[in-house]
Parts: sequence; structure tokens; C-alpha cells
Amino acid sequence: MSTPRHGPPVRRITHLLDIAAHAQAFAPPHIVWRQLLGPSRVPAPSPALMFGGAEAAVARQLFGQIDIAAAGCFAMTDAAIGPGGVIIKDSTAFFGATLGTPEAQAAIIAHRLNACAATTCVAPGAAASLFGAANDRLSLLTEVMPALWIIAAAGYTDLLYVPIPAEAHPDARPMLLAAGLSASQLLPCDTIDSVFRSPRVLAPARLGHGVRFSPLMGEATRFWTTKLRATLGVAPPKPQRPLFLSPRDGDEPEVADWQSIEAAAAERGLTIFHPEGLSLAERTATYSEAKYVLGFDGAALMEACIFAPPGIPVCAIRGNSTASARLPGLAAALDHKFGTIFARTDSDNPDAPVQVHGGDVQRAITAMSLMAS
Amino acid sequence: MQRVEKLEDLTRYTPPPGARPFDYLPIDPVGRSPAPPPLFLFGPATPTVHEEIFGQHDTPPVGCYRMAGGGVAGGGIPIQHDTAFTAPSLLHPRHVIIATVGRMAQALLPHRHIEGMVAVIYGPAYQTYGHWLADFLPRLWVLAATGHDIGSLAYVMPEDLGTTARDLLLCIGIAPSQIIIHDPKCEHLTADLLLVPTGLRLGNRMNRHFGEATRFWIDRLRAHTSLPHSEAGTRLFLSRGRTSQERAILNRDAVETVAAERGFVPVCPEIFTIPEQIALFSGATMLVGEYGSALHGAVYSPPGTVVCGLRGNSRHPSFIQSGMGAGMDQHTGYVLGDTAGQTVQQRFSIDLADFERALDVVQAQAAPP
Repeated sequence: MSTPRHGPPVRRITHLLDIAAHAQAFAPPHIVWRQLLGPSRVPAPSPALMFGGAEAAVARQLFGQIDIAAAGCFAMTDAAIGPGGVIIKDSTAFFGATLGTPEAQAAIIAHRLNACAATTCVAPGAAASLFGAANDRLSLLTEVMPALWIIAAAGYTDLLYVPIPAEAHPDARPMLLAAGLSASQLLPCDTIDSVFRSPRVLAPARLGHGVRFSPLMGEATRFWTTKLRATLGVAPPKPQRPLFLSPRDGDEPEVADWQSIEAAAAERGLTIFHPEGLSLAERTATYSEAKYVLGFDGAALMEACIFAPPGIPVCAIRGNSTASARLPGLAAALDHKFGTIFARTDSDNPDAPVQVHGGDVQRAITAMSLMAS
Repeated sequence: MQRVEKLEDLTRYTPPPGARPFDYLPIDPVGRSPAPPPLFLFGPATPTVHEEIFGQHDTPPVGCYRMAGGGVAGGGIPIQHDTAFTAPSLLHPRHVIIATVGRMAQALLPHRHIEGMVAVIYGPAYQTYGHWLADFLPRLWVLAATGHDIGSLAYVMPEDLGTTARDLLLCIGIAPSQIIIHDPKCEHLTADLLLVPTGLRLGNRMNRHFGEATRFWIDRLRAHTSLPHSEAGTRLFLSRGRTSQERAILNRDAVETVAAERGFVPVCPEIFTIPEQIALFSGATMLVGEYGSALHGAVYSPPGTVVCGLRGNSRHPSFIQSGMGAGMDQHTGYVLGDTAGQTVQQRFSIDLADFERALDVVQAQAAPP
């Protein structure tokens, strides 16, 4: 296995193009799109439960998107992977929702690359663009890791090199290693201007689009989580106990009375789980045993969705003015029965922090235990 | 006739020693399951709305009670000797039973006794068409499933039975001679054997046999009635513009215009005969309309039909359509308008953008895969 070497700088970028809209103009052999599933128009899966009442904006988020984007993988010969997931070929920078790279960000990156002498490396083989503009845990779990399956399902069996941006989530490297990549395949980007040239660049399309996910998300998630469990020595998922995800100290949720909710959950027999500070293996093992999960909306609940046995009830607790951005769609794509307890506004004191009604917690736990039985 | 002095819950009732014969023919026990979620729920949802839709887990037991010498009080309340009966699936509110039998005790009325078996299938709100579809006609299946010949039974009916309900019974094949009109204000009525089939509804939830029970009476109706031709795959907008303006939709014209632009044909079902209504609904695969009895006509539509109800965000008039739709393998969604400050009249407006979104979902769901 060879290591990357420095190469000539990329050409001056003169064009910005949305890859999904313009791929056909660069027909093979320049850009190849291998489609795994075409676009579809399907109603959003209904939440299995909702309690507490919610504003009309919540419903628009939950039910308003009926379009699901196509799934597949772009391949370009002799191209480069730039910062923020921008793909550069000749003097064109490609961006797009399908790459996780907004146009505005692509424009900034192009300007910066034109203005400075970017550090250009040449990958020893095919390189995959897995990281987009966002580098939080959500994008790691729902975009970066599932992309490994897209590449495999599209039939690309090359030994892949993956540039990892310096600002990537701390779990990115251990997860990619646990999913089967070797350390030599991971190409660290030391600076924000790093550009990796490759004889073949693979750019898997994001499985998430808006608040919806492709029906292929379940298979893609099983692909990498199965490998990760095997590497970490974690048993396959099997529902055993209901979990309540406790928020970490100093990161309290928007709901004012979260301690009483935690106490109510404990009284109903849920295991109180504090995921923060635990290793990936410890978190994965616990989520794999979940019979149903109740927790405050956030990254921990997202991670629980990913590693929990498929088909379990998962319920988020949050305020009543917006819905979770992507959790309902992700949970549905993973066949979970998703629900939300919305905290209520005090009509006498609308500026006070929202509070969850105790009865809503009890009703939600009852509903989840019925669904899980 | 004996003065009614007791009120008993049929689900827990054991006749005292020496009482007249009383038995229960069970079909299905009480059930407990998560409520089926709506296809969509646009608009502002109050905590009450969420609780109504997602918080009801119990489904009713179904069977038929048989009471020797049983009688019928106002609203179809069963009585035997000195006891009036309640049961969750008979739907009579407890306070209504107490008031009704209290009035009976004060009145000195003549007694009429009917020989043979008499069934009572109606209950509260019997003058509302939708409750015949949701609550009362499925009880014919309960009678049949417990071994009774519904083609020969006598049925006690209230003197103020609406013409639509009467027409429905006749279309099903119940002969006029089988109907015993009873005015509880003018007489006490008893029978040798009173049959009291339970309903299949509890709140917004239905017993798992609701679909079978509904198809039973609709099949009989189709067999006994000549139906006009129906056009398949139609889209209907069910308007309440010509009926009661309780729970009125304030921007009805704008909503109907949007629906018409999307290919929905506006109809007021109540202007059609029963056979015409059935033909109308039989061809529909998308039904949109103001929540009410007309929407319950979806039971005549095929499985897979998408139903969108427009209503306020108060508790009343419940979400019975969800239970009916689940039983009929149909998809039900709602667009809610705010009824804050409208607790009595419950007038509401529908956000037209939300209505458009709902129609997008309706059409996407109804589209062939």
C-alpha cells in the first residue's frame, strides 16, 4: 500500500455546478452516475405517537415532504476532493445537497482555493468523498458511514482512500476503522485547504434529503453497524430493556422539568442511561439491548436509533414549536416506531420555559410498552 | 311494570339468585393495542387532539346479551326487571341513563309486551346518520355472529327515527314488519327475550371485527338494493354547506375552490338517496371533506381509500373516522383549524397552504406504486 504524495495544485476554478443537475452534461467517461434507487414520491411515515400538542409548523416538518431523492454514487476520473466535500474536476467545482455541500459554501471554498496555494496531495488510488460541509455526529451517522454501503452497493470494489477533514467529529476515525477501513486508507487533511487528487473520485449521494431518508438507509446502516459490532465485540441487537437517555450535566434540554421526567421513567422501570463519557463500544452495546427508548431530542437519541434493534419504539422529548429536523425520518427509515412528547407552553406565562405534562410521559411509556410487547 | 332502581355495568354483572334468565354470548374479549396513527395531521394540534388520536389503547369486548323479559328505555337503554344496564360499548353516558330511568319512574305509562325475540341495536345519537354507520348497523353482524337470523328478528326502534336511518334498514333487507316503533315517553316496552348486541366502538377505537361487521351489512345492502353505476377512481370533496352549521368551516368557499382545482368534485351527499350515495362513495379512492357523518360514508369506499377530514382542534367531534378507517383498511388524515375561543360553536378556518400540503399527501398515497 502506498502513501499519498504531494502533487500539482488544482486548476483555477471558474465554474460552480450542482452535480445532480449537471452530471448528464459531463456524461461518461467524465462523470458516471450509478443509480441504486430512483426518486420517489411517498407520504412521510406517520409518527407512532405524539403527545402534548404542537404548533402547525411541527406538522409541516413531519408530514410536508413527500419527495425522496434518488440514491446512487457519482464517479469521476482524474478529479479531486476539496474541503467541505466539494468535488473538483478541471476548472469546475461540484457541489449540491446530494454531496452535503451547499452552493454558498462551495463558492467560498472555490474563492479560497483560487486565492491561495492549496496543499494538494495525490491519493495512491481511488478516493471517496464521504465528508460534506457538516461535521457533527448527525452527519457522521447518517451521511458518512452509510456512504460506505452506497459505494459497495454501486459495485465499486477499489481499495478506497478517504480524506478526513481536521474538523471531523472525534468518533469519525474510530468508527471508520471499526467499520473495516485500515489506518492507511484514512487520509488526514491537516489544513482546511487540503485537496486530494485521485485517478478516480467516488462521491456517494447522501441518503438523506430534507427531513426524509431513502428506503435504502436501513440496509446501509446495517452494513456498517454489523461490521462495527464485530470489530468492537458487541453482540447483535436484541431488545431486552427499555432505556431512558439522561442528558449530560451542563447540557440540559430546553424542557424545564427534565429531572422529574427522568424520575417518572425510572419509576416505570426504564433503565436510566448516561451515554456521555462512555466508549463507542459501551454505547453501542447498551443501545443494542434497547426494547424501547425515551430521551431528549439530540445526538444521543440519534445514535440510539442507529444502534438499537430495528422496529423498536423511540420517543423524543422536545419543545412544541418545531419538530426534530431529521430524527423522525431517520427512525422511520430504520423501521423504528417514532414518537414525540412535546413540552407544553404555560398559557398564563408564555415566556416561561416549556414543561412536559406528567400525564404525557405516562401515556407515551404505556404506548411504547404496548408497541414493544 | 317494576320501577327501575339499579344501574349495573353489563361487563361486570352477575344476575342475583332467582333473577330472570340473562346470558351473554361473547365474540371477542376486551383488547389493548397502540392506536393506529393518522396518515397526516396538519394544523395546530392541541394536547387534547394528541391524546384523542394516540392515547386510546383499549378496544371494546364484543358479544350479545340476552335478557328474558327485558325492556328498552329511551335512547335504547336496556333494562331488565328493576335494573338498567350500562356498558362501554353501548355508549350511553352514565348520567344520561340515570336521568332517563328517573323520568321513567315518574311516569305512569301503559305497558306493551312483545312476544318472541326483539333486538335493540340503536343507542345515543341515533338521529345522526354517521352513528348508524359507526355504531349501530355493525351490531347486525354481532347478532348474526351469535347465531341469530337477522332476516327474521324484530327490531325495536324509536318513534323519532330519522328517515335516512329507516331507509338504510330497509335497504339492508329489514322489512317494515320487522320494525317495532316505540315511544318511551308514551309506553313501557318489554319482550320475551331482549337481544342487546354490543357495539364495536370504544371512543375512537374499534374492535378488530369492525371491518368484517361493516362489510356484512354493506354486502346485504348491495344484495337487496339496485345501485346506480359508479365511476372508479373518483375524488370527492364532501361539503357540509347544506347541513347543520355546527362546527362550521369559515373559509369553506376558498377550501372548496382549492379542492376543485385539484380535481375533487364537490358533493353534498345528503341530497342523494342511499343507493346513490353508495354508488358515489363506491368509486371514490380519495375523499376530502369537513368532518361529520358524510365522511363516515367512506365505509362504502374500497380498501386503500385515502380520507382527509377537515375539523377544529377541540375534542368534539372526536376522531371516530380514524378507528373506522383502520377497520376498513383505509388511510385517514386530518387538517386542523384552531377553535380557540370557539368552545361552543367550534368554528374554524383551514390554512390553505396546509390544505394544499394535505392534498399532496392524499394524492401521493393514493397513487399506484
